[in-house]
Amino acid sequence: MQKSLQAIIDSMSDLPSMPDILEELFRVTNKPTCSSKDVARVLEKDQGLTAKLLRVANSPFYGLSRKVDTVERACTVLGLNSVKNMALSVTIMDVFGSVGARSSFDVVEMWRHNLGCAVAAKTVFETRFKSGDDVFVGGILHDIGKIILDTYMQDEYFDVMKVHNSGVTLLDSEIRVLGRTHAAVGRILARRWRFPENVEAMIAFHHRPKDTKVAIEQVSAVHVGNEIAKALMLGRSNEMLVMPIDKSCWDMFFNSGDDLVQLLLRIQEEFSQIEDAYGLRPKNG
Amino acid sequence: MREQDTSNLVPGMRLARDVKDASGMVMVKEGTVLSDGIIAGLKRRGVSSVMVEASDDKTGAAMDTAELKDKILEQMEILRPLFSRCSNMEWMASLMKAAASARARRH
Repeated sequence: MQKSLQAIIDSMSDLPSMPDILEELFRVTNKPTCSSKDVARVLEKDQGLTAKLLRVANSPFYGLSRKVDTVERACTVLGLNSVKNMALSVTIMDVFGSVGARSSFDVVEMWRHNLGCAVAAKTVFETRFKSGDDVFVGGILHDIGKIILDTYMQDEYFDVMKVHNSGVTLLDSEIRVLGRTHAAVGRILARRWRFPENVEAMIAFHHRPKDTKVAIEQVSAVHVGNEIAKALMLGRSNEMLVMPIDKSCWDMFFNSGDDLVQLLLRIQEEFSQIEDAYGLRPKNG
Repeated sequence: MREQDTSNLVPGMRLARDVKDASGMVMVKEGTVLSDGIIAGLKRRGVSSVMVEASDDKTGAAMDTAELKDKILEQMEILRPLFSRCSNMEWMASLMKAAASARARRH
């Protein structure tokens, strides 16, 4: 029943290639002299992307008092890294966001979970460290492997869900059927699309944060944010159970005297501020 | 409710009054929970102070204590099965309680 990693990679040969616009964006933003104008020139080639970006930038989540109506202005006000990360999230959700004909889970709820994880991870990270922009992207992308498996290996992922529904954890079910977890599959995409090293680490190690060799604080924040999103029921992952958070990751962000309720209230509030902008609010909510 | 200098605002505080600009246009609505982004926006716009809810009335002010308690218990019942694999760990139990409390205040 089990497939080798090579078989998985082979069956992913029809994975979409990295969109040109991201390739160009990474190239431009890697230059030390990169300016708001450079970023705007790249992103504004795609009008659909630009419209979505501006909708996200103008959501209450970013708290801008005056509407921004150009990418250049968004870069000036929010910062280049913020806009770059926004473009990455929006593009990936575009490429992988369409609902498959017969998905083994609710894809919209899965993206809401990813967004919930992103908001939670960023908020948690910023209690101790500066700028959680990269962590936000890591949160959006942490389960990209599940989306890929659900899209490109539907039969096998149905088998995974069958095992999972019999009471086995999702990770164990994936290993039993595929010999690999969604985290390892997500990493394949991260490498193929040449994601920054820290983003690759957040995807690959969000379930075993201690094994990462880079960006341990960011990986830990996504590990914690993932379970917080489940605890607050922000969206719905195909693993609904809250899994134990690694104690050392927990201790990295929380002291016993911290007001955890206040932090969770903020996460709930910020999530509701941003889910509309990503077009993810459920119809009955 | 109390007046708070913009420079001392902390994410999580809740606005007790609308924040308006010089022309009377509402910039941020009453009841908004402040995030880093909103605070930065207020500073950029040169707002010197805002009215925020005092810490003892910042959550569930309108909800009476008994009702809130019931709602928290209700949420605990919803969350308990989700935490079945980890509620014996002290830090996970504290996360479950805090999540129940946060959800009760929102729902």
